[in-house]
Amino acid sequence: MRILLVEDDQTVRTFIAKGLSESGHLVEQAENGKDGLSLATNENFDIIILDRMLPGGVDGIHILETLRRQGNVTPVLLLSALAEVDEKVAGLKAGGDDYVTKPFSFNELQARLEALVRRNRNEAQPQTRLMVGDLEIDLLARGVKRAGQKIDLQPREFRLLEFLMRHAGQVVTRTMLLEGVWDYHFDPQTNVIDVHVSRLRQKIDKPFGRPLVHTIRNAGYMLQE
Amino acid sequence: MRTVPSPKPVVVTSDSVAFCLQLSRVIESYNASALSPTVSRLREEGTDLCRQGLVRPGLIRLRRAIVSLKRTTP
Amino acid sequence: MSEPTAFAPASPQPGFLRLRSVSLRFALVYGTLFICSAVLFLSFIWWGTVGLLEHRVEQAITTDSRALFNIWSEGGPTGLTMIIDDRLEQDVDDNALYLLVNKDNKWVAGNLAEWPRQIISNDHWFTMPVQRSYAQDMAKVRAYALPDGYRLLIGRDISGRTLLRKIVTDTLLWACVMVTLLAIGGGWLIRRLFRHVIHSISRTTQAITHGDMSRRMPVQGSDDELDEIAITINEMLERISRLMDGVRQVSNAIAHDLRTPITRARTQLEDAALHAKNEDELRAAIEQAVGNLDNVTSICEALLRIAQIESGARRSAFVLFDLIPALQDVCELYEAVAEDHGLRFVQHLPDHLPFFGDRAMFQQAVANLLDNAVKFSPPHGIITLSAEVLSTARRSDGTRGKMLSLSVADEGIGMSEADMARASERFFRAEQARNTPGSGLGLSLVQAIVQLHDGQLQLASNAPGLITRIEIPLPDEETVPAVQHTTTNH
Repeated sequence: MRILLVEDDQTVRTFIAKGLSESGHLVEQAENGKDGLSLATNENFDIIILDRMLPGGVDGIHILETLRRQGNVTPVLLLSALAEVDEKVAGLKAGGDDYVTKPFSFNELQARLEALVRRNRNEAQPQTRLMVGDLEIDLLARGVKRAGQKIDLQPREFRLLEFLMRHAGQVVTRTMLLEGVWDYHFDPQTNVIDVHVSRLRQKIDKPFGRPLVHTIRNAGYMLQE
Repeated sequence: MRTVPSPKPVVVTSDSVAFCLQLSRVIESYNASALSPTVSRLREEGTDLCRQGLVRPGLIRLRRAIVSLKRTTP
Repeated sequence: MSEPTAFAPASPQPGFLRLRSVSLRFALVYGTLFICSAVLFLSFIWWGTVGLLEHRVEQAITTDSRALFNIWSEGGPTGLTMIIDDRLEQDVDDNALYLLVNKDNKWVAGNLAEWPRQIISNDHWFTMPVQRSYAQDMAKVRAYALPDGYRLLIGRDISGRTLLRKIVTDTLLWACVMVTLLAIGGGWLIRRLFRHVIHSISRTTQAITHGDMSRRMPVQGSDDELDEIAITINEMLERISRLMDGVRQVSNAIAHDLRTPITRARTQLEDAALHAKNEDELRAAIEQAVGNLDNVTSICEALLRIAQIESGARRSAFVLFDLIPALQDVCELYEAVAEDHGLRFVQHLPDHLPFFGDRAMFQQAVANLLDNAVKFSPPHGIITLSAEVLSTARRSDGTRGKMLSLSVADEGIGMSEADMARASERFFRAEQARNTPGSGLGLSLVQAIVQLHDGQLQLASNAPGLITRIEIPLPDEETVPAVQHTTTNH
């Protein structure tokens, strides 16, 4: 993937660039808004990582709005130290696709980046049926089958599984699950997500021997064959 | 309205003993016997005051006498 | 008053005639207004008396002239002479002046010795002196032209009126002087009153500026506007000192509680740098340090969130919604957790409960309470969440109305009385809870959210365990036309 990274803090920029390069991505870097904007308008990227607050008068929101006005639909992930809910809403309203607050773990960022790119590809054709290995779910009938065997899930468990299936092969963090499945934007202090995932595993993995839901250390979960 | 300062004021001729006597004569010209006691008294008092030099009060009495005469006689 | 010295030009104290002083301007405005209205009033009196008298004289002369013109047109000079004589004979007021002259300017009739030299034009008002037997008087006259070169002068001796006019004018002038004195006196008095009030305010505020936060405005108890100002200022000061206490408390807490994870992270890193024997040990130490730093971040976030909620800005996001689905949503999240911990989770909820507030925040508050309950419950304990509507509860503002009473009860370690009183303080953690995970901000956040909804947070003993109760006033039916169900997350 070709990724544009606009971030003024050198430590953070180097850290992200290094991590992404190691994962095999091509990273272009810009340290201020002006360079970032000209790179973003003149070249093609698969995704843009944009810091909200940038020096030199051109901030992240400004770049984002300019791009969207020009009809550029490249997915944009906003990075910001502003954690307030209203700030997130403002960033998403300006055309951002996701929002990550600083400080963040690299795993979280990478998981969200991949989810964004994937979403962008999948949006073309709406799916009614998702399959991973011998597990398949029917989004219309809300039915789940594994190895031809019907599995009963609670509505919330179904949503959790749907989310994991949609991001199959990707790391999904706990925060992503909390936001995507429960629509909560706060951080519960106990490990509620782990409990729910483990319940799901009881139903879809345990009877079948071969696990599909994997725990990724220090990051989250991944549904994979 | 104009105020014209003048060093020589015009003399008012009615402020005189002569005018007093003239008024007294006017009263006399009416039938003396028909004069009411009030009118005669006013005339006498007025004439006396004029003679003593008190022209103004004298004049006022004489004029009152004439006014009441005019009112009673047609 | 002391003179302003050249060395202290900026001093606000001296300067009796500082034009920029509000009190002086106030007094000046008062005085000016007072004098203006008095002058207006006195002018009316002047015109009503003196003006009217002058007008009367002019009117009398004009009427007289018309009558005499009629006589002239009937009887000519002889008739006019007789009438003039007649008028003079009957002039009891002793103020009539007549003079008829022929074309040679010779006397024909009247009581003026000669035509006054200054009367040169007809049909104009003149004021001229006349010589009476006793004194020199002023007369108002007007000349009229008659046929055949005759000229008629009609006038009135206005000395009596002049006297009256002088008396009235003098009186009014004196009144003006008195009014001015009164205005100055009143202005001075007002200025003093004003300064007194302002100074008492500024003295207090100055003392506060210099750091004496305990000072308050004196309240006279007379329930007037000054008291109102004083009470308002005092309330403001009350709130400021409460906020300052809060800030002080938080900064102390930050100094203490935030330092702990930072110190740990630092120690771990330094220890690893000095003593780690292989890469695995090094990695493990770094991971622990990162965990501790994440803890710092979550504390910061919680603090910011509390501050934001306490500022009251989120009130704009209030909507009317059914509380029950929102509660069930949170319950669903924690049911699994409770089960996982071997706890029983019991819910007593009505079917519907219209509520006015911030849905997401209220869910977070309940989530925090459940979080605590799960954390502090022993195995096989029961956690009870119940919500009910108290129909005629006494609200905190003294009125009676509908209230929501929501409580979360656990059978855990509970709290001592003293700890309960301090529980919602930021970073407070009961001694027994020192070793459980958490930032110590959970209840503070709940407290802030509940206060944003005008409610109260109470802690009580469940023997064993703890009951956390939230009481929030509900909207009255009359003020809310229809329940607007916000969309749920499904």
